[in-house]
Amino acid sequence: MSAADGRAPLPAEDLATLYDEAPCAYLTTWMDGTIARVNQRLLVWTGWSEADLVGRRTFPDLLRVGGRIFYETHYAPLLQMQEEVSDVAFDLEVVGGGFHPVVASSCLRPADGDVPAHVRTTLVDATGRHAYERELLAARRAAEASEARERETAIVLQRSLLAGGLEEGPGFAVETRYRPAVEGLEVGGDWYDSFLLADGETLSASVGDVVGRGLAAAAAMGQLRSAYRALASVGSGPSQVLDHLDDFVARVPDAWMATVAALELQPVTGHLRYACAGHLPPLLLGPDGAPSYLWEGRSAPLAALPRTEPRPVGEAQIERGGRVIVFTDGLVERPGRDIDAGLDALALAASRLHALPAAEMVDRLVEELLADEQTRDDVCLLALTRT
Amino acid sequence: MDVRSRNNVVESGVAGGQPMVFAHGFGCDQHMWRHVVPAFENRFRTVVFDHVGFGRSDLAAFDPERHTSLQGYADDLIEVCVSISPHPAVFVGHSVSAMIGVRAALTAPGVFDRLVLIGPSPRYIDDDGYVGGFGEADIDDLLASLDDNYLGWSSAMAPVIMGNADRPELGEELTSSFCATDPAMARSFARVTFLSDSRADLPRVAVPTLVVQSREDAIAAPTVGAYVHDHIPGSEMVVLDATGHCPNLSAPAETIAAIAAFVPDPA
Repeated sequence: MSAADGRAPLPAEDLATLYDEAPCAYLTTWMDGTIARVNQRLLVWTGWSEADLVGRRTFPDLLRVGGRIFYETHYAPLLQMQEEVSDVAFDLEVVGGGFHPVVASSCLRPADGDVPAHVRTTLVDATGRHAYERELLAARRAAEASEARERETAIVLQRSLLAGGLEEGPGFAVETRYRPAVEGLEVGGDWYDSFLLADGETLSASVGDVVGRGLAAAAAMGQLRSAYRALASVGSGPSQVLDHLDDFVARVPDAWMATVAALELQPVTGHLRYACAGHLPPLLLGPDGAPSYLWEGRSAPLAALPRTEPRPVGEAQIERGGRVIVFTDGLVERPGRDIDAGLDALALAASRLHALPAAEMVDRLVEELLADEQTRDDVCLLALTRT
Repeated sequence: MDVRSRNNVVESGVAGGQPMVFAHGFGCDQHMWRHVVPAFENRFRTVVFDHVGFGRSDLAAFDPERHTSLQGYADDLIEVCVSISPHPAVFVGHSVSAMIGVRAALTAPGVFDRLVLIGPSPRYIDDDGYVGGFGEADIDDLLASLDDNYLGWSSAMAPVIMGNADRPELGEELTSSFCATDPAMARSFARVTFLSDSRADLPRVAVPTLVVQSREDAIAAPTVGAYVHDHIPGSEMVVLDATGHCPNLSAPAETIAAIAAFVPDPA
């Protein structure tokens, strides 16, 4: 005869035994929380005697303070609203120190005859669950911290790709604006840069645009911008810089067909030399704001065609108080609109806003030009003012 | 941003009547008022709403800067009131919302002509002669307790906890939203609630004010309610024969009687 075949006599369990020796704690409370009845298990877990609890303490009195607040602000209202609550984690305080994690479920019993309304609560041991949850919580926090570190690293790296540009020097000031196509990224395929050549006088400035968007374009942009800086520092002029850049780009597939506007300004005289490899023409503004595009010095994008002769260079004169604005196509190009219409809109707006301080002017310019933007592209602008 | 959908504003009662705006406290949502609001619908334009991060508010509207101070929630409250009526409202605030209402009354004088503060506390943490009822370590313990329970109340568990097949009249809307808050926002609101200090605001309150206090309340003790009453000039106080922090749920009839005796019929 075995227990499993159902013929063994049942253990002698009366209701009191089932109640007191249950593997969970039971308590019954009146509506004000005062304890009316408890089982032995609860006394064992908490260290209280029955006389300490019944009529003298409330259920929340047995909890750690955080749980007590949670009980008053969450558990009791829920119980009153829907007459039962289940699966809420609490810590029972143990007499003499320490605590015992439990999961609580309660149901509300309405008044019946002389017996007032009351609440029945079952507490299940949650020591294992508590430890497991602590591990989960620690793991989540570690994951969140790791993500925050990675994000910080990514931001620092991305920003470094555009860092180091000069903002002003004797005879000139530079304002730049940048908005990546991909939200959540710091950079895209566009770049700007400005720095003094080794002679300490000539200002080199560039704006470029690598095909595509996102991180791959940004990585190629970073390489190209650094290469440009290294090649331009020699002081060989815009045409030769672009020629050398062609050779560099031939070995960086992500940078093929990138466009660049290369500028060199003598701030003392206002003499400007420039070359555009497939790039939109810079916009020149006279001291009175009269606009004109610099259409000379044009050639194909980087590594687009086999090169047979040096890239052409244009020349212009920037008067004191005049500006040259170099930008990428995201500022003026719209689907279904002729590019000339975009260039006209930029020239009109720039001319109208020219009298404003440079920082305010470029803010307004970008805001106005992007007002009708439909698809999000990388946008980059560099405004060079001769002071 | 539409204020009404941001705060899930629900109006009932007299069309065009004086607004009576009910603000829920920490841990719950506008359903906290379900036993109280109907008593005022025949005389007032009754308005309930959810603070951002709670109930069916627009969680996307949670602003980590704005919603880390009582002032941010007070600014939300003012915007809710302005969206209802240009005329002063009666304000009824429970728990932390009592002090949010006080802040709003100071920020925008004229937005309320009466304040009813249920279970108010201007400062939960004890401080040099002031007894708020809690120590700073207690609040850390509360945050840990919130974490424990939100771990348990994962999205998969929530329907089991909130659902109640025996009481379908509560409806899905209630059971799925009441107390079901976003963990990060609940943490933030817990900090705002339990770390704020509004004691300096009390003497500046210039509208008739009623403090409604349970005779036993583990969150805001009667001595704390008395402190609020003592420091708001000319205020009245009613101690309800009720226990617990939520007399609006546990003793709605007494709560209604206290409010009704204090609030005159609108002209």
